[in-house]
Amino acid sequence: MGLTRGSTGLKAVDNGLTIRRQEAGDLVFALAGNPNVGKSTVFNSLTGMNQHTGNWPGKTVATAQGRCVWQGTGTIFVDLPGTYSLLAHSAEEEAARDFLCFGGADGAVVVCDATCLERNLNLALQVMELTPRTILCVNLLDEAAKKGIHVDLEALERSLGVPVAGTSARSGQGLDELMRQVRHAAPRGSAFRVSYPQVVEDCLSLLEPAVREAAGNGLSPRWLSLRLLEGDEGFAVSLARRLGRDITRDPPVAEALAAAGDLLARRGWGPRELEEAVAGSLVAAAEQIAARAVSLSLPDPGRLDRRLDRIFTSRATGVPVMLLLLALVFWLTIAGANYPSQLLSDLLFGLGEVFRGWLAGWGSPPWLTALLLDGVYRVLAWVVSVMLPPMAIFFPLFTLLEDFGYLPRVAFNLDHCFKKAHACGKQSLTMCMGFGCNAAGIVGCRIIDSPRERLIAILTNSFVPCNGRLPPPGEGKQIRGGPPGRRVSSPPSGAISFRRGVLPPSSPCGRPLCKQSKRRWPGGRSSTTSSRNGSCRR
Amino acid sequence: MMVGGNCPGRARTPFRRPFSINIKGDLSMKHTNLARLREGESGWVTGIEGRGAMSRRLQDMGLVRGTRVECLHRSPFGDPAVYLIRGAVIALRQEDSGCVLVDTQ
Repeated sequence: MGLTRGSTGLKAVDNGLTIRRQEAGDLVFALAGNPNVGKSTVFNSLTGMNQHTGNWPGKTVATAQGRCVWQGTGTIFVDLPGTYSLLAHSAEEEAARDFLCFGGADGAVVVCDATCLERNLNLALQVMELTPRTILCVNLLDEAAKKGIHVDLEALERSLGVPVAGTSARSGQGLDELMRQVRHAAPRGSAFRVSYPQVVEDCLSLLEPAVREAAGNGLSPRWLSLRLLEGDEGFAVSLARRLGRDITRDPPVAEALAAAGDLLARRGWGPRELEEAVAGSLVAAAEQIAARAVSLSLPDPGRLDRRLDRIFTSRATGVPVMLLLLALVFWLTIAGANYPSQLLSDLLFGLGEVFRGWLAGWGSPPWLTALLLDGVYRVLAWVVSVMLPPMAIFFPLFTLLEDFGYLPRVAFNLDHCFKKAHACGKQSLTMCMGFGCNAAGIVGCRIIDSPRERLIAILTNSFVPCNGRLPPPGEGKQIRGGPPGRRVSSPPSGAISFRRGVLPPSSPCGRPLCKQSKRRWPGGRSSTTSSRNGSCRR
Repeated sequence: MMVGGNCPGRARTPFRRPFSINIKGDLSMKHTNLARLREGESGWVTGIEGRGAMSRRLQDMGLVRGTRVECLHRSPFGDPAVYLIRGAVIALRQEDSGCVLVDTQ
């Protein structure tokens, strides 16, 4: 999710997906794939910062396009939303399908997950049906190697009849080979064709000639006939808009559709049976191809995961382990932030005194000194010394949990509770992120698929206290400034008095402004010159 | 790991289905749905009830006729359960997995 300068401000109002070819030899490739296969990693590695993000026209689905310069050639990649197939009806799938059909791309790259190839081949086969120039990118090969899954890329290429490149986008391996295939591989006519049950093939042979006549502008007639046969209204609308007319009204197409409908009716097939037949053929084809290309060196790659899941998700130990781990993360954050906070505070406030000396030496007027030092610098120093250490501990710990793969187990355990509030279990993850920073938690809500559940997660995220709002434990404290003799910058004379349970209104984020309060925290240094009641007197 | 595959052609005797008495010799086949599989149980998909976005999504996940599915765990509260479907480990809520008709032994 790149936030570039070009995608904020006025330019955030996206006027449509205009592909900007910068030079004559630029090719446009769509980047398709299942969610979570590393498509964005591939996209970012190829295009770097030459990206432009925005929305698909008329939808709330995000898109990105970027230019990749490789050996003197330029290629524009358009990052399609992650989809499991092109047949379902969600906004992402429609956006992906519309771009592949009507976007005017020169080809498509389908990014697949090597650890789960069979499921990914479903989308790959559908894209191959649509675009003759398809390249397969088998990503996450390093993950697959760890699990003992070996993908034979040559066998895959032979079975599918399209160029295949293996990559590990996280480490940047294989991207050169991918670009070579993208630029130099010619479209092959021998791509694998999914064969449907005989009755469907008969209907297609009736429809294809008529459709090719009516709409032969580069759209694959076979794919188009299938969609017309299925009676997909959403697609019919897009097609009519693009072609300027409804081709099902054309006499040859209408006749062929009627004849095909008869064939299906005689067989006793309705739209449901047709849908099942099409999906079943794709799944069966994906299974056969994956069986030929994937081999396992370990008998059961998921066995360790399953044993761990017996601890993490079982009835007896699932929730206690989760609470323990989260408590550990919080304790490390709160306790561990003490010492660095103190150091940073001493350093920055000390520097502040040095700056004050300089400004006095240059004879700056008092209002300027107050503006720069008492205003800007002091607030900066407080925020950095008080907020940075907890965040610098919390987010890496959270990322560590995510890399271990533990976080989906948290969502899985808590989904039942969240479902009672019509929310999603994944909200537990965004709320955990919200403990670090609410803004980060809200950005993380994109992992939730359902729009309503996502909205609930976004709106309720602010109820989670972020790092800046975690109150220090202990008695109420009055902050009026440092004790005499100690080199501490005191708060401005409009002193903020803080009692237990009442947060100071003027602090940058509600944090207590006296660093002495930190010393009360567990694990903090116990040396303090203020009284046990916490009142710091000037 | 691929555990998918077509139904291995078990001898099914459809004419026995209407009988509701459990004939001792035919304890083999039980018609149920994915939501009712217990931990460790496995079966073969025989169809998906209902039509719409969810049924298409389930089909895209690989839950077509003849696919072998296994219930790996249930959540501590019982509701989402984790299934092994064609080598992928997928968690489904009860309302969604209840649409998938499964034959178990």
